[in-house]
Amino acid sequence: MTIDMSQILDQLPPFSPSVKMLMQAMEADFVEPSKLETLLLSCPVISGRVLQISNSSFYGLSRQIESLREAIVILGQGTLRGLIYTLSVIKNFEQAKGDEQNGFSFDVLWKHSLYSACLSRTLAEAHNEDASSLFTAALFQHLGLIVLNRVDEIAVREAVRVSQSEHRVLVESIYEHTGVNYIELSYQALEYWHFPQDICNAIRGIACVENTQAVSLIKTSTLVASAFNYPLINGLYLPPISSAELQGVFPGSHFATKCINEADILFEQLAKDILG
Amino acid sequence: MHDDNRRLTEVELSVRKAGIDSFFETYEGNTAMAELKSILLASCEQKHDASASEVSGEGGD
Repeated sequence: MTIDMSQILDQLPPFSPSVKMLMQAMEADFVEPSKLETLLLSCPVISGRVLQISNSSFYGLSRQIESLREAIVILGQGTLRGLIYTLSVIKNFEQAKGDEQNGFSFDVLWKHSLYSACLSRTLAEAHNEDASSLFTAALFQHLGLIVLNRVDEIAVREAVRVSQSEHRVLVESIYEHTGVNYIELSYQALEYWHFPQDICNAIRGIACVENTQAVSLIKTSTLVASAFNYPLINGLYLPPISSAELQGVFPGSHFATKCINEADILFEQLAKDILG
Repeated sequence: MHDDNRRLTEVELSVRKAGIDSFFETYEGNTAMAELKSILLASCEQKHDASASEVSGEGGD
């Protein structure tokens, strides 16, 4: 069976009117801070999380941010745009949290994605890659799986079963059962919502299995998240890393410990601030 | 604002090591994955040992 990706995109859950207005406003190169503050105030869940995350180690600011106006001015519109888009998408899929379907729980899936994102970020910083884009790309790389599951639950269930029982890579198993590369779908969904292009491109790199350091960092982070008891799905087979990739990502065990330690700290904070 | 020197407790160490052992069973025979497993186990031990050395006044890594 083949599913038409454009039809899936048309079925993406809509944002609430206030969130839609906020996201549309942020597409402009510059928005007056007062206007942005007003729009944020009409989205209380998102603005509350913006304040929490502004004060987390994610941004490492030396002073406490106490108001939305301060967050807007100090973080800057570009940074804020990425954060608001990220929080808006997570909020839009929150109704899926707590569900147990097809052998995976959406809570577990988000935790896996968030740990992968935190480690991708710390590794990207250590390797002078774009930490912000890799964080968001790792966070949303499996979004297409959630979207696809809504469209054809039976095909996804069978693909997961085959992946678990035959040690097949999930993205390939899903493709065989639906005709959709679900990571490509993640990319298409973010582009549909007008996410910043560098984030979309990073996810596309994962979908196309590009031979880049950025893709190796995210791939390794995904493996480590699963090994650290944050699996995408229990018993799932993930693509193994090569020796060359491993040497590039973790040039030494002390380097690995430092990055993992930072990722652990970031994850503990963001799991509360982002996932609630 | 946050603990930037987070160490693994005894319980966290054993849970994490069990998770690593279980996860890598699937990849037996794969050299690179065996190397990754060693790195992750070593990092767990380092995070845990540093905690013990701090208690004994030897300092962290």
